[in-house]
Amino acid sequence: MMSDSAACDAAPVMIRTVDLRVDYGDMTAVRDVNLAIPAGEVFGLIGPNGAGKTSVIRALATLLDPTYGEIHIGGMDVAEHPAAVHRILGYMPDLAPAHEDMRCWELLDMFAAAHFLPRARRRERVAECLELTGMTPYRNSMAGTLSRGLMQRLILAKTLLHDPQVLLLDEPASGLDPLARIELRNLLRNLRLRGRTVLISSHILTELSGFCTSLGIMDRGRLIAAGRIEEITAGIHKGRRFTIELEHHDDRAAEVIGSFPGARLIEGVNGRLEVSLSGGGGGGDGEAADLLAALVKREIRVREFFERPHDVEDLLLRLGSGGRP
Amino acid sequence: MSAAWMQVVNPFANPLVVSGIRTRLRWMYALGWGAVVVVITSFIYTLVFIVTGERGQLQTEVAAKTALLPVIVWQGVILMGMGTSAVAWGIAGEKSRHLIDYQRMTPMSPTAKIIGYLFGLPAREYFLFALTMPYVAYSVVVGGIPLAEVSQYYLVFFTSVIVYHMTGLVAGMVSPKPWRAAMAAPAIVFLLYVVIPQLSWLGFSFAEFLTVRPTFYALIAEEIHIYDAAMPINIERFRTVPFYGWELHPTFFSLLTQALLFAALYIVVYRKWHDESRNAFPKWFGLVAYAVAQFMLVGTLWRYFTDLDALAWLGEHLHQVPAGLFPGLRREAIVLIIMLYTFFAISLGLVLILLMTITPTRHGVAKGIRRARKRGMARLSVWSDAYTSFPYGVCFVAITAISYWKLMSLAIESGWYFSSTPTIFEMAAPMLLFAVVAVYLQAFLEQWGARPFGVAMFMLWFVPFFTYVIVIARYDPSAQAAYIAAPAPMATGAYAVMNLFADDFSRAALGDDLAALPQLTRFGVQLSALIALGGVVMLWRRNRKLAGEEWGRTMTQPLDASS
Repeated sequence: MMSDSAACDAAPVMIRTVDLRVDYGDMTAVRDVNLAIPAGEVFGLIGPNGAGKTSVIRALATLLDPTYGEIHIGGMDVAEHPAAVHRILGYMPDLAPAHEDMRCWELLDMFAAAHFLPRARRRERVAECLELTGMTPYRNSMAGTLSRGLMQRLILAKTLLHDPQVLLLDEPASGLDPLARIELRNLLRNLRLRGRTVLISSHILTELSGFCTSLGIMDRGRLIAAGRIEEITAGIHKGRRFTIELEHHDDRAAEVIGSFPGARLIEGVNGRLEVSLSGGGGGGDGEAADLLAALVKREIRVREFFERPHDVEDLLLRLGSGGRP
Repeated sequence: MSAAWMQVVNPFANPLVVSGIRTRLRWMYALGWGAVVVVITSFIYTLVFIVTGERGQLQTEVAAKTALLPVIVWQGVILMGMGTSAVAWGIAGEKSRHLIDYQRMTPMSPTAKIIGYLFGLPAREYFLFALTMPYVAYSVVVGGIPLAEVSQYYLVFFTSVIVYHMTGLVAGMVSPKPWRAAMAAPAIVFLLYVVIPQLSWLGFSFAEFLTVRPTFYALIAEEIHIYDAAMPINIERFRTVPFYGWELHPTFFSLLTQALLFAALYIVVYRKWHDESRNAFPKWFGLVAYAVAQFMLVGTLWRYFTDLDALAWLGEHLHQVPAGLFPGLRREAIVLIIMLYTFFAISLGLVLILLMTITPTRHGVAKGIRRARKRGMARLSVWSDAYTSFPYGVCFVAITAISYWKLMSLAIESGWYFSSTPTIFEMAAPMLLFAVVAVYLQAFLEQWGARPFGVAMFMLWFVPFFTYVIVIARYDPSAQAAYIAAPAPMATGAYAVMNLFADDFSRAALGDDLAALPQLTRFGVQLSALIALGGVVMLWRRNRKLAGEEWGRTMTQPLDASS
């Protein structure tokens, strides 16, 4: 289970699912997922499209009645105490829509009132959240006129209004420009420092690296791995992938790779080779340098040699799910 | 008072109402729409005032009263028509764009959210309505219409508006697309509040009290002198409402029927609010709703078995029925045939609607079984959404049988309808037909789901019926041709009800098809019973297979994610 880490065990569990299952007709979107995310974690839920991430998040957000399974947020059963859970929960959906006929401040004011913020505090809090998400210049803009990225920010501001203890963010970075992504990361780090628990989903691993403290990997409805980010990334780095671009096609390159200990040629097309390195050194930098030297020694003209970052598909292959059908 | 309660009792503390006012009443819209409404209201009011007053040479007082009528109609268009569409369109739009999820996740109570949408979405229409009120005030003051009566009328008007808007909210909540909701809402409103109230001309007056019309006729019509104009309205009919042995005030009865419908609509919205995949009604409420509806039906028909004047009034209204349809029958018998046929038609319609709201889909059954297994239950609870609606269909039949038995007892006891007491088969046949049709409706609906069920029923009921109509259009009506329509309950139902008076039909005028009524009835009931048997067997096998698959399935073992 997720709560294995000793560091996590000390903190109370803020998000817990027990045997969570979600069916849509004959299709099972989520299969008996067990999660335990301690307070203060930024938990990244990754997986390819259709893995069941959104269904898990919607079930956690009480927006979807699961086929079965228990969900506890902040120690409360969401089926029994939905209103109490809503007070401590913030949810931002994928491609978050906004009320197009409302001004940004009107939208935030409405939700602040819906969360019972007193009138005097409401204006202040709306201004804070606009500032926090960089939306202050758009305070009086109609939500319908905002770009995709600005709308994402507006809904993030809405999600933060009642200062929730637990945040569920479904692909929050989609539609954001690089600068806004950096701001989002900083914001999430800040929330973590303030003890908030965040569950964030993405199908892009790199999007989550850098600020997630733990990861869960989903594929075809199953949670196939979960744990502290160091544990997961250590598993990934047991084998690294490199791309080798040759000046022109050369059959000897395949021979060199084939004879190099721990190296395996995954794909080779028109002088572009995909190589996996997982030797005794775990595919470390030394081995990569040795492989490059071996190629150069055979006078194979290498134009580029670089490491290809692992994506979700790589992870899934590595974790033995077999990838997509 | 807590903030949560304030949002329920004070609309202006409700964030949804406030946002509705902000978005739908921006000064540009308010000014534009307001100008249009003021111009139209001024035009119709002034026109009627001048035509009746100056040119009609009536006193100003009378002209002011008469000019109230078009304003009242215009107010209905604004709040009931435009307002209902605004609610349906607005909620369906929020649903289709998933904006409603944001509201679902706020800690406001569902009641506060429903109130917020009910008053927030039609904020503009309420404003436009307010702009018409000065004209009403002028009529009341100058025309001298008693304020108490106007107040009572507007009380019922507003409760009607809320029920209409609630209907729009339900249409929006259950329609997947805003345009479909916007089309469905006026259609449902038209059906519920215009078409169905027309059944009052057949004796079923309770639906009429869902509208503001009876209160209008009882309180306002006489004041504004419309009854002696072109419309031959029997105002006496609306002064009191005979219900069983009681004489109820129309305002009270209107509020009662509207409250009952509002409760039903509230339950639909409340459940859909929590989870869209839920059935619209819980099983228990389906039973309660049907029992109450039957109670209301019998209650409003009661007077036609106990009050000869009421029966005479109904007979008067049915005098347009072509005599050729019922050769040799007394007027009382014709009244009972039409009343019973309509009773069964309304009951079947209600059964169908309620079955659609409580019958689980195949996936719903599977989901329910999986959930029950996980909780360690050996079987589904009979009250769960996933439980088959078959026993409830049987209960609906039983409730209908009680109502029918009561109506028939009253009819026989009164001595006004039958010249000789019908036989047991003659009395039982309409009920038997109703029972088997209700049973196969349930079986096919649960088995096939709404759309295939709709197509199948259309084919089963309308193809034989249309064929029959074509055949008798080409040839003369005959018993042989009548057999073609036997699968259609609207035809067999007519045979079965008319068969109650088989002895009374004039032998001389009896055609082949009427002479064969007992055989036609028996054949129709037997055929429908066979269809029902087939449906029940198919449903039983389907449910057994599904239960075998789901209860026997090996549960997926929870994964230890860290392993």
